[in-house]
Amino acid sequence: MKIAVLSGSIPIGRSRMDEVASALLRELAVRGHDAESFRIPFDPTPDLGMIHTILAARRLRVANVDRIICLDFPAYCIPHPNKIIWLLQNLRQAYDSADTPYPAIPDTKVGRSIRESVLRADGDALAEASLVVTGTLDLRSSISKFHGRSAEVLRVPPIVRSAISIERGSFVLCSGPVRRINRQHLLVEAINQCQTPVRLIISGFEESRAESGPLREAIRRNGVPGRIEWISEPYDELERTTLMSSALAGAWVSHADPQGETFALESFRFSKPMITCSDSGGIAELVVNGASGWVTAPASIELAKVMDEAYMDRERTANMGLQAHAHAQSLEQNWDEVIERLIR
Amino acid sequence: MEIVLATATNPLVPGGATFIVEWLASALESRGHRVNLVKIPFHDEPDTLLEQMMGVRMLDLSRYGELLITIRTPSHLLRHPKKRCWFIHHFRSAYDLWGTKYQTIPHSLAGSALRNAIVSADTAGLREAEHVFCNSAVVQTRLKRYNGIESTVLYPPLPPSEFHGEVTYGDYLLYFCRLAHHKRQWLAIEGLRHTKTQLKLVIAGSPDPDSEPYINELRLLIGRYGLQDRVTLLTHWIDDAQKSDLFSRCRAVAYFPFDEDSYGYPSLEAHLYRKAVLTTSDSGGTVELVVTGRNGVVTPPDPQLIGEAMDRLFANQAEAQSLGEAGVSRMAELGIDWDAVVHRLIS
Repeated sequence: MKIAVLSGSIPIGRSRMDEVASALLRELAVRGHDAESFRIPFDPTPDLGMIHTILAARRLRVANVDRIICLDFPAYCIPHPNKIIWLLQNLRQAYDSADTPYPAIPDTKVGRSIRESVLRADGDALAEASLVVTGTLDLRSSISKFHGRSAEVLRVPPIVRSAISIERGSFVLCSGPVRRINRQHLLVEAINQCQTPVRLIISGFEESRAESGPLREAIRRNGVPGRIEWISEPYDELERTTLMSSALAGAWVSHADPQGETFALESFRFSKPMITCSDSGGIAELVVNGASGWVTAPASIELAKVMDEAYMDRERTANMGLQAHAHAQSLEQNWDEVIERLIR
Repeated sequence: MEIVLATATNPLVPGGATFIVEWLASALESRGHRVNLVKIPFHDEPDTLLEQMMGVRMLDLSRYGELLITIRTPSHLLRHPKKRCWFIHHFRSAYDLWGTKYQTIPHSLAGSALRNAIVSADTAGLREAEHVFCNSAVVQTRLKRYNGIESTVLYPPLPPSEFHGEVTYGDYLLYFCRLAHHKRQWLAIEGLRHTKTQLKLVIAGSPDPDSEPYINELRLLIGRYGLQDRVTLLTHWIDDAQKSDLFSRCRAVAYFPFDEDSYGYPSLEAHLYRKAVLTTSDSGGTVELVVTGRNGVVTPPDPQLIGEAMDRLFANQAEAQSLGEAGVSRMAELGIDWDAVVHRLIS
């Protein structure tokens, strides 16, 4: 079958979505399909440019293929008679209401019209699609709530080879894009309140200065030399794998993140328990407090407590990692299942 | 340098326009630059063409990267404070193919309006560029004539590679490129019909979408002239090993596209295997590379004359060989190498 894989991303750096797109391309090719990927650039700055991006995507055409598989915004806005949406990421900024603690889209006239346009465009795209599946439970609930569209969950199979890792460094790893709503700054503040010498590594691309403001500020105020490291380079698979395997535990403390489950599963695959917050969304349901990780209130003092715990009782932390790994395996879908579903 | 490299292409149609992007990306990366590839789908179909061009125009890259380099049309419509274009061809139906049988835009009032809109949009996008480069003197002339744009010719090299295997000068001419009518494989068959020697012809290349009628036409032609024993038509995707084999054993390479934008990769490929290029005077870019008696033969696009040139390459193997061996120095003379290209593009 002839297939185009479409994803959207900011024009620079390599994102997790780029990794998924390449993996999908590779898996389609080994099953005898003819596939090519395209990358639609977009700028997440919340101005009218975002509406232009939607209008742009609606005007593009993909010829010469039997179907298109779209992974995220704004790629899924591109029309095609046989459009498959494997929704791994929406423009969550537009779904967060303006009264969330960290609105990325301001509650202004322009902001409101951006929200409205994105929601309408997503609704249209979902209605046009011949198949919609989502990467997480949260995304499934979101499209059901906002667009009345039901969908199966089809999780992204492991992309990098992971294994039970017995190596345990002395750091907690927070890997994911740096945005205000992802609250990396809470972890930085927590380090300052820890009783143990536990360290923190934030591996997250800086998409814009506006979004990284709180983190920069927290590092400036709380920066304990040698205990906090921020790797702001674009996504790098090898580096991430290395970091993952040598971490003590993972952490993802974003506010109501529809993609958080993915971050937890990734950490689990490396047998690392996950630290998350009770308001972080589906990830807080996936992580079983005291078994495969810790679910705390979104406050730095609480996070400091569990980081200390993870550091002090390393044997318990290791055991939690093993439970987490088993949990991830029970949820895992393999590429055979995924491809079969996407091209059926 | 943080570079955004943008192009627009039709999915699953590999060809020169795709390769130039991949090769440039690796040439830039191997020289320490960070390359961010932006690949936008694009369908060269008149009905939605202008809509699609608007779409490309509306994408905003202006906050990202120190430099935007655009390759295939209409990626030059993207906006960036520091934009450079390496323009490889127009949407030719609205330009030089207008008024020819290759024109795909209807010849109507609406068609003319569409044509004008395409030209104005291209001109506006190219005007914003700090520098416009192009891939041949042919495209340079078209940019000047239709868009009033000055440009610098920057010949696209092949990927950094050398062929070290054995080269022989066999009994067939190789015609290696996409199977499309304007690539004029048919002209090679017409030429072969007039030969007096037993020279053979191998036509190989991946078919364009919807090219089945053209391939049938070629088959009919071969049958009509009773050339079944002398012409081999390979219409499947040729892998690297088979391609290498075809090039290394042929007598010379034939390439007669109609008014092509560049000298064409088949010509460079021929020289990589120390083979001469036989081309026609109306092939456009190829005549910038091929000099009769130096690294190949340029004949008028007349089957009789093509046949004569073919016979001569067959009868005189030593000459075919010496023309082929001169290809490398001819490429060096034109500055066809990645160091030169990268230097011009980014400095």
